[in-house]
Amino acid sequence: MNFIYEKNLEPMKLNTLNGVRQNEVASLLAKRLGISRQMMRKILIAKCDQMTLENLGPRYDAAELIAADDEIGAALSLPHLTTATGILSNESAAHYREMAEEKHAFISDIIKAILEEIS
Amino acid sequence: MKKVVDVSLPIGPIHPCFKEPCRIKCETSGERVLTTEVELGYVKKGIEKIMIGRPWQETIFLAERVCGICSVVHNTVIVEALEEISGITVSRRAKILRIILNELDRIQSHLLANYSYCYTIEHETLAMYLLNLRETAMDSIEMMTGTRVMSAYIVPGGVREDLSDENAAKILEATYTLETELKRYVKMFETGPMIALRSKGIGVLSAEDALASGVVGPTARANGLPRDAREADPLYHELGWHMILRTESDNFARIMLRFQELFQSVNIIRNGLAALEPGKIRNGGEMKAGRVKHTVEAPRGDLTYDIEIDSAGQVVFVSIQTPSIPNIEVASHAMMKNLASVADVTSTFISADPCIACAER
Repeated sequence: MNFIYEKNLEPMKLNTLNGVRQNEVASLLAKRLGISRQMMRKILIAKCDQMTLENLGPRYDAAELIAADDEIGAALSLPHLTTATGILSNESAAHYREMAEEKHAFISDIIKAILEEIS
Repeated sequence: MKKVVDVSLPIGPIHPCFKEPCRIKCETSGERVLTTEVELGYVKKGIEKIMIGRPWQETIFLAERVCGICSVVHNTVIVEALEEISGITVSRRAKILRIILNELDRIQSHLLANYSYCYTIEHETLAMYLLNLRETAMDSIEMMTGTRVMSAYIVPGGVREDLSDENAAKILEATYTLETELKRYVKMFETGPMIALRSKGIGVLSAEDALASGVVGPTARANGLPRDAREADPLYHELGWHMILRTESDNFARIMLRFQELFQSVNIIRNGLAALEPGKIRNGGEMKAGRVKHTVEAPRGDLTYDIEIDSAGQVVFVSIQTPSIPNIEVASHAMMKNLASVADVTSTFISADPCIACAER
């Protein structure tokens, strides 16, 4: 069935991510997770809607404030993946936090698991 | 027995309730709205890209074209940013004239926002009253600048034209008309039982969502968040500005807060007119190279221009962060989530005063 307005939004989302602040945040998120900026963009395009991408800057700032008082959260980038982008559910974030708190796995392994989930 | 079915309901891009094109995709379960997603992209202008490589003189006019409703504040921010780069000073008279114009702009923008809301909840009488009153503010803007919109009144070093005593008296008279009429309309809004049914407790924004989204302007202040860029300007304090906050966080609070700010703007204009002393309206200066990030309180919240000029006076970089971006985003993801009725989607969206032109800069 052809819908009149159901279009592929990927090019529009990529345009949004080309914005100055959005590009900066995508790079910062990529650096945090140890992946390439292109990979990060791909994840963001797949998981976020247009308005979340437009508002990445203020949301990232809010996540940074939360991360400042949360050592484990900051190490795993949990506020950045939940508050800033919403690409990780709160339940999953709580699960990964528990894994780190109870030392079931290394931080690097948990980040790998997070990446597997969001990719 | 009637069946409750899940429906994906698109609203827009062209809809009688919207001033500008945008599309809201609602996921509903019966009448309840579970989630919404706002899609933009119908009027993307690309003004940031157009500005790059152009001389700073042209960018002043381009900045005004980001938004037709709040063109004055775009003019103000870019000029103040250019002045900050070059260290150009502005006389007290010109500063006050800028404030008067910006408050007139805020009045017409808030009246338009509240008109849209009343129109959306089908209170057309009050909507038309407010739209009619907006003309008083628009006439004052025209008297001051020569045009209703895109006046390019604010120029580096001051303002383009002085305000004559005759026009100052007319603007003062207009503030009394605005105040008298507003009192009547606010009472209608505040005490209307049907308005309360459609507005109180609808579109509530939680404190967590407000903080996480970086919401600004009246939408933030209706949530009790003290976010107003005018706070940093001592002249605004001198002219009687103070932070207005509400705590109900619903549609009613957002509209009422704008009404309260209208009275404050009227007061600031009067104090500004009284504080006007004879003097220069424009200082000279030379444009220098540099980069600055400048924020001014637009009618919808913090408007930020991050701009870089090279030694030849050309714009090499510009980024415009408009207040509508976080406000639309929070409306989409928090305020319109789990609404009891589809009828509340448009009114809740409009209560955040979304400016699509600003968001699609």
